[in-house]
Parts: sequence; structure tokens; C-alpha cells
Amino acid sequence: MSTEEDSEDNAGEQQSLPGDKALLDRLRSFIAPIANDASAVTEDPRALRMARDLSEVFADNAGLSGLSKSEVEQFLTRYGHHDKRLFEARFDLFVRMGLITPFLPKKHQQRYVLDPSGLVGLLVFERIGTRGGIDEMLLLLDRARWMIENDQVNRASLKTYLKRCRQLLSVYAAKLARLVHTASITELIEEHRNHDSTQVEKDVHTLNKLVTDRFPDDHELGDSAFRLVETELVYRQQVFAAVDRVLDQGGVTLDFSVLSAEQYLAAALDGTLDGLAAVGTSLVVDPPQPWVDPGSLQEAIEEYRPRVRVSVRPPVPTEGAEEDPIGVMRARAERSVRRRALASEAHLQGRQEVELTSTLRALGWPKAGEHLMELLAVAADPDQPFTIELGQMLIVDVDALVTYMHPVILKRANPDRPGGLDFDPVSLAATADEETAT
Amino acid sequence: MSAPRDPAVLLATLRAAGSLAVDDSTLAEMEAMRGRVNDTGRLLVRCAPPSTGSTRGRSRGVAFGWSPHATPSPEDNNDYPVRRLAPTSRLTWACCLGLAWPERTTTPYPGAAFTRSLVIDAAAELGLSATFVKASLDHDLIPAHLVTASGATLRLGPAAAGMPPAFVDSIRRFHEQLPRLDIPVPVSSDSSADDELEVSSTDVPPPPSEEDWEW
Repeated sequence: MSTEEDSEDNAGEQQSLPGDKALLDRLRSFIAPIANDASAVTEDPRALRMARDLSEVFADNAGLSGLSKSEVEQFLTRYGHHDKRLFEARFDLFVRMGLITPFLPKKHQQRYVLDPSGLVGLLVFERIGTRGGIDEMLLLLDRARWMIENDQVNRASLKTYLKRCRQLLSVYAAKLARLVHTASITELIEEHRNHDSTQVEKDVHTLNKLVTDRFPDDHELGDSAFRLVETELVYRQQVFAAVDRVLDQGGVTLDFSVLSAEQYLAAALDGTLDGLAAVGTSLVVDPPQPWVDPGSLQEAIEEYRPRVRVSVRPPVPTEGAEEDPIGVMRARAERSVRRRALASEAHLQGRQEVELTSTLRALGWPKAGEHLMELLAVAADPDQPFTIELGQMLIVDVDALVTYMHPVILKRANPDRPGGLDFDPVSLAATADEETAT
Repeated sequence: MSAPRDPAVLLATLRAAGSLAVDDSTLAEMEAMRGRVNDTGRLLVRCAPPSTGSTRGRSRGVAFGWSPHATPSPEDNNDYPVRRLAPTSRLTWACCLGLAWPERTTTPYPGAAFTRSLVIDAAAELGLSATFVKASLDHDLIPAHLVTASGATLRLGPAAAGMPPAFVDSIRRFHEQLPRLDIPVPVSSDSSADDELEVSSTDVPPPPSEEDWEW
């Protein structure tokens, strides 16, 4: 066998254990009445899984024409594990025992179908193996009741039914009594979950009433029914004893597997606060210790520590940088002021006042207006010692370039400052030309 | 003479409470406990006993530590699943370490006493809100026995005593990064001091001397 097949077998074996193993153990006593020898029931849980998988393969894929052996083997590979030797052995056994039958009852048939009885048997085995046969007891009680209600049973059969029911209850009661004294809590919990004492009590009492009502004068049947009720009482006592032992021992040891998840939920929803708090009275809590390694500690510190920004000195401005525009504007304004002052001095020529009406008219338009604005600007400057006086007389000359004109007189504002500026008329004119060009 | 107590019960008590007072433990009990603990790769380290409200004096207690060769490394693999603290709780723990461990050359445990307000102030300098600091102290650090509270005074807990020596050496390397306040931690015995500073020098047990470590 290859390594891959070994791993698949191990995987399949892991998937089948332990539920199938326990089921096979229960089924041995079930098969015992018809077994040929002690090895009648296989001990390999993989065989049970193989039977299930084969049944599913036939049920899902056989259709009306059946399946060949190779097709069955191919479909089985979809279920994960596949042991070829096990498949060959079990397939041949199923064919010999009639679980798998040839499509046609003649030789050299290559196609096979599943017998429905075998599939039903598989379902029965699973139910009995899981529930321990409790359902069969309930079915027997229910069947007896139904037969009495529908007049489908005679006296002899009814007597047999009552005896069988009583014997079943007696055997189960004895088993429970033995488990209460010897089994572990886990086994007792599992066994208790299969028993429904309430339903059994109801069915037994119903059956007893039916027998009494239908056969009031038959003392033998009445006695059988009464003994059935007595046996049911013993059975119910053993069920309660199992419950008491589970609760007592499980409660003391704080075994939380005693109750199912649904029972815990019901207790949480319906229980009182004191009752729920009493659960933890003797409970020791072991809180998980947090792990703080130096690396995570340092990470936390660095994550929260504010980042320090180091202020860097700005770079030194390089030579040949562009001019300061504000400085340029100031320089231009200073030159304009100086130019206006020089022009005004040029007009005065050292005198205290001079009339510039004819000079402005000779400049023409728009130069006359521009020059007048220059004179007014220098006169408005409080730092300049010049004033402008405008006469009220209006000179109108329609043919001249300056049509309307008022007399304009330039005066030196401070008589004590004749001139105020050192200038040479020649250099003054040259400076005025330069300013004009700029 | 009473029968020796089951070491399993004593160790279970130690595990649930974080520390165990051993003043009334016999030498046989201690030997049995130590043997069981060593088999699991752990150690019994000296620490302050669980506070009972009375003056501790020179009472002895033990806590779980780690053997140097058996210290797990959950940060490298998942073989030893552990519970990790949130970043705010780690930072709060760093503040507690910084306040309790002022000198790098000494050991962090038992360390100096500090108060809740000092922890809040140290964390506030890093931008951590007081709400998170209080929640970390009350819900993470104190229940995990990393910090113990005695009234308004806080100290490093028995879990800090059980820090692996390698951890202490690593933290010593970045000791200066531990958050701490610039002002010295006031541990005053003046009764007229602030309500939060109810620390008396007589309540602080002196550091154990070397001979005290001998069982």
C-alpha cells in the first residue's frame, strides 16, 4: 500500500472513530440472536463507513441501470478515503449476502444495484446503535396501543405484547440500576439522554387503561397490565436515580458537561440571579496572564511619544537675487519727488514766485495738464517748500491747444529758504532729462 | 503538628491570587512546591505577600517566575498562546515602570511607590487621556497583578517580580525612554500632605537583603 493510501486510511479511520466503534459494540448484542459465531459483527469501524458510503453511491448514482464495480470505486473516491483492499473485501461480501445484487439474475453480470432492505437495515442499525433500542420499546408500546384501539389484536397476542413490554422495561431498569452504581458520569449522561421516562409513563398508563376498559372481566390481562405499570414505576425510579447521581456528582465536581448547551441557555434565561451566582461560589478563576515583552513595550512608547521637530536655520540668500520690488517703488517715488522739486526750482530760478500760465499754455495739451499735476503734487507735499496759486480768472482761447486755463503762480513757501537745493541750471536740466527718460 | 498541605492546592492558590504568603509554610511544603514548579519550567520568586489590609512588615510571599531556559517567546511563534494588552494598557504599564524604577542599575521590583495621579500625569505628557489610564489600571494591570493598589498608593505587583531576567535586561537598555515626570516622585510621610499622597515610609517594606532570599 502506498504512502498516500496509508494517509487516506488514517484519515478515514480518524473520521469513523469513535462514534462508529461504539455503535458496533452496541450492535453485537443486537445481532447475537441470529449470529453464527462471535465474529458475526465486524470490529472494524471502517467497514461500517464503507457500507454507508456504498449505499449513498448507489442511491445517488445508480439510477435505473445500476453501476459497475469500477464505477462504484470511482464514485467512492469522492468521499475522501479509499482503501482498495477494504473495498474489494466488503464489496464481495455485500454481493454474497445480498446487500448488492447483480442487475439481472444471471452469470457474468457487470452491473449491480443496491437492495432496499440492506439500506433499511443500515438505518435500523444506526438508530439502534445510537439510541440503544429505546425507540423499539416505545414503538412496541405504541403499536400495542394502536392495535387495541383499532381492534387489530386478539387476546393471546395482546398478552404476548404486554409481557414483552414488561420484560423490556424490566431489562432497561436493571441496566440503569447497574449504570447508576458502576458507570462514569459521561456514560450515565449518554445513557440518560436516550430515555424518555415521561413518554414511557404516558404510553404505559394509556395501555393499562385500554386493557382495563376493553377487557374488564379478564383478570389475567388486567394482572399483566398492572404488572406492566409496576415495572414502569421501577424503570422510572432508575431513570430518576441516574439523573440524581449525574446532578449530584456533576455539581460537586463542577462538571459542566452534565448539561447540554440548550439547558444552560434555559438556565441563563429562566434562572434567578442568586441561583446563577451560586454556581461560581466555589469556582476558582485563573485569569489569563497578559504577556508584555520589551519589544511591544518599546513600540507602545514610541507610538505615543511626540515627534520632536528640529528647527533648521533658513538657507543664506544667494548673491544676485532679484530686486526688492518695494525698494524699487520707493526709489522711484523718491526720484519723482526730487524731479518735481528740481523742476520747481528750475521754474523759480532763485526767485520767490513765478507765473507759469504762459509756460503751461506753450506746452500744449496734454503736456500742460501733466505739468500742472506735477506742480500741484509738489505743492501738496508738506516736505517741499513750494506752493501753487491758481487765479480765478478764466482764460479762454478756442484756437489754442489749451482751450481753458487759469493763471498758475508757483511760489516758494518759506521765504527763508531761497532755493533750498544746491543746483546748477545745466546739471539741473540734465537731471531732469534723466528722470524723464527713466 | 498539622499535616503538610497539598502543594497542588498551594500552587492553585498562588496561580489564582497572583502571589502566596508563605510565612506559615513549612520547609517541606516549600520544597514540594518548588519541585513541582521547576518541573514546568517555572520558578518561585520572592515578592510581597497579598495585601490583607494590615501592616505587611517583613512578610514573605512568592510568585511565579520563568526559568531562563524555559521562557517562551510568543512574539516569534504561536506555540504558547498568550493574552496581549492593548497599546494604551502597555503605555500605562510603561508609565508605572518608569515611576517605580528610577535608577537603571537597580531592579524594577519592588521599586518605588507612586500614585494614580502621577501615572495619569506621566501618560498625559504623551497624549494619553486620563480615562484610558484609569481603565487600564483598573481593568488590566491591577487584575493581572502587574500593579497592586493599597489605598491610594500603587506599587509594582507580583507579576512584575516574575518578569523574566531577559526582559529586565532588555528594558534596561531603553530605560531612559520609559515615561516619567521631571519632578521627583514624592513619597512623603507628612500627614498634612495631599489626600492622594497617603504614603507612609513605615508601610513600605524595606528591600529584602540577600540572606532573606535563602529558603
